[in-house]
Amino acid sequence: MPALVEVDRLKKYFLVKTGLSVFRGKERFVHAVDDISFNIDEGETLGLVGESGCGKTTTGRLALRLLEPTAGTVRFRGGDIFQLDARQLKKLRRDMQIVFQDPFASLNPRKTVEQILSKPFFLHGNLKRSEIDAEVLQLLDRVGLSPASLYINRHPHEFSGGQRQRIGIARAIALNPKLIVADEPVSALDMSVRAQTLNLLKQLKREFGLTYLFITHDLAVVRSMCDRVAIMYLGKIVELADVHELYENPAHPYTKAILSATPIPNPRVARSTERSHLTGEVPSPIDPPSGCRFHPRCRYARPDCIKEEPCLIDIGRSHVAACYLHS
Amino acid sequence: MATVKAVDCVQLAIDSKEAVGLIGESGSGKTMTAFSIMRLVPRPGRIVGGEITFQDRNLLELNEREMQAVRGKSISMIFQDPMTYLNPVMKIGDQIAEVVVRHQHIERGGARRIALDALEKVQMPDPSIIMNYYPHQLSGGMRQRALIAMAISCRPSLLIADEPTTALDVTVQMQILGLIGRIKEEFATSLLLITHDFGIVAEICDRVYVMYAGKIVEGADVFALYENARHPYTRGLLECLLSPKEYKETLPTIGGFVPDLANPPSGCRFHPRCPHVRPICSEKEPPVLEVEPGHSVFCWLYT
Amino acid sequence: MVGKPFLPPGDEHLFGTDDLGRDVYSGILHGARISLVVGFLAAATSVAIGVSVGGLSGYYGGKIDDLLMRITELFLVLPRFLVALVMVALFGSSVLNVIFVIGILSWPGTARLVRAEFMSLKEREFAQAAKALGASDGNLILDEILPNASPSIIVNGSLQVASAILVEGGLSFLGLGDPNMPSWGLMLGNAQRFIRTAWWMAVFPGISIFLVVLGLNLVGDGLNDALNPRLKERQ
Repeated sequence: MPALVEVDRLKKYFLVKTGLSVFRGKERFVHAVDDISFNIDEGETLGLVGESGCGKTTTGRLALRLLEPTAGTVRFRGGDIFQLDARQLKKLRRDMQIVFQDPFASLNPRKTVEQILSKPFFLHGNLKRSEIDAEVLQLLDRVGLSPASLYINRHPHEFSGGQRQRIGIARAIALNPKLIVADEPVSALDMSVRAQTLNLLKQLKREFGLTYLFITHDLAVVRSMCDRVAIMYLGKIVELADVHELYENPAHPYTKAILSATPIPNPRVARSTERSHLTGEVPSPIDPPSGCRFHPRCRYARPDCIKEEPCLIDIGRSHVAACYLHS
Repeated sequence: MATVKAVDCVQLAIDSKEAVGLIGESGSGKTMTAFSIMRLVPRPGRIVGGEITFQDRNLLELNEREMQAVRGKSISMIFQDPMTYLNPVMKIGDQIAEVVVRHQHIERGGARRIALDALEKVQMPDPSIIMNYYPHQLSGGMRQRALIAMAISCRPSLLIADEPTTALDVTVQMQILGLIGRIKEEFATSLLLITHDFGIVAEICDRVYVMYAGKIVEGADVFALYENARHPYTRGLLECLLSPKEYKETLPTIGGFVPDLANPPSGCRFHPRCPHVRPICSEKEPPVLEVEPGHSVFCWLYT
Repeated sequence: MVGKPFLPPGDEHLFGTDDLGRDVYSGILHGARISLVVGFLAAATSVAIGVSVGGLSGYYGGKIDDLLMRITELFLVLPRFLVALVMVALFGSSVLNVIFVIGILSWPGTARLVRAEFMSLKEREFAQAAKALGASDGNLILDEILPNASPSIIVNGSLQVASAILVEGGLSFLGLGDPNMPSWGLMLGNAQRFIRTAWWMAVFPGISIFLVVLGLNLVGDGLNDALNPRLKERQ
């Protein structure tokens, strides 16, 4: 069965604007996403994990065609989304939606909840006003904001962060999409609210048969939310595996490093666990290191690593890693 | 021993060389507690009662000039977003030197040497070069190191860190937490770490206070708190934590929402959301009870 | 109402009379109408052009932005008052011309402001969410972005009114306003010769201009405070 989403050799470079074009000389680019390929199967939650500058957010935007790629393609149900015309694209949008990180910025501050949630129905379909109103009330109930009538005429600033996030989720499921890109959906929320929101996402996935592309930097959340995980570093995918396999047998040194750096809430375990400390910080994506991009910070770096970039090597158990340690 | 008591019947104690965590969610009052210790409560808020005893003085009785002598020298603070607290038009070296000159009354050359030394202590890469950089030329992690350097330049007795790593990548976070832990040991600085992330508390704190809706609900050493939490809110919070070490199918949650502090619930502020609520909980605020030496709870379940 | 010329302020003529015996107080009232009408209409013209240019420029970026911004800069570089003088001298000084001239010279400030707002707002997540829902460019601009830019536009608009009144006043003062319409500037211009003997002819129009412009500036500030903090409420 073909995958729901196929990302194929996707690239996105952003031009760095400095000074007047006449004096600029050679152009410089931010290599935000640099030749990545992966699939998302229907019904799964694929985690896309990495630190700042790795390109995971840009990948999420590209997957929904909120950005145009520099090269490569994304296929949704076999069709290249970048080849669609405006009308076809609008129709496709019903099937793929997004939930954002910042519950304060993701809702139009000048609109009421009712206006925000009616919009999907106005843009698509020919429902009457009364039918739209009914749908909106039902959406709010579905995301746990009951009784809905209390909330529909309020503005976003009257809600807490967790409640705003629920409204954003309601907006995303309004048109019954197949795919939802969740871009750090709980990172800005308090711990107890985080748990509530993740439960909601899981519940909706079961009820609606959703597929998630779950973008985050937090490996604690990934463990309980995702089926498969892709680790990104400086625009590249460096490892991809089923979730339990990744945590039991991390293959890429970077994966090991971020696993090691994730705080463990149990104080005894935290202080007795051996950590591999990573020095330095992520280099600039404008001039990424040659060869394997992780080599300047890698304790296992060899001459090969500087010369040529490793491809994703199959190490069995549906697990791939881009590292010469495994060739 | 440095004892700190803040407002709203909040009572904390921090020993020398001790790392105390103050954990709470949004609206719990943890940041305001920190600002109160520094007497930097933004208007229109103000401190209305209580005592803050620091090195045998009540900080609330000092006038502004005396307080300025304390800030930056005996008590320093670092914040979540270093960019907001670094002067964007001054070089890093000059900013740190300025703090030193102010508190130690040495001339500029000596102050710059101390600034360089501070940057080395926070393991800033190429410290002599960074001395002449501006904040916008540094990465997030480096800016936080610069802020820490400024905070420790005069060897404070107490360092208050308000969500110091929330905006940083997880690998950089670990580096900064390690750095803060080393500073605590090397300079015998006490630490008050304010955060919403229990994972951080578990990594470096000795003792923890849990805050909810402006009040402290429990205080204990970090192991006792994790293994034997008494207050229903603490228990609820610990249960909804996620760890990279285990998979949880459904995450336990605490029902309801954080109350509006302008109109807090009567009696125990947690009672509307408490699974063990009793009639007295809505009538009177619970007194403190020491359930074990060093472990206190504010809850009617234990009286 | 015509009375004896050069009467000082008194019971019959509250602000006195001018050199032709006209009641200054009536002149102030009639002049108010002209100044305010010209001010608001000129500001409206300026805002309409500025929002269109700035909005398209900020939203689309790229070559459209480059082109529109060069045109904007061209207009910015022109010394506003001198060009107004020239245009009125060339095309006549009817009220409509004056409104048009002021409007066409004031829009660049608004355009730049609106451009900045649009550039920032279109990247905001709620706008991206609408795009993900399938909203067209027009819908995004009118339904999502413009309402959020309107506080800035309104504040800028009120300041434009104040500024337009001053320019109109200046033009009339120099005799380039519509001679058929009483205007405070015209009254001021007329009063120049008599300042030492009949101070009330200059003082009252002058104070009126001052009060209106000050008032509009304060309204602008007040609107700024009232309209914007809502965005920052729940932090």
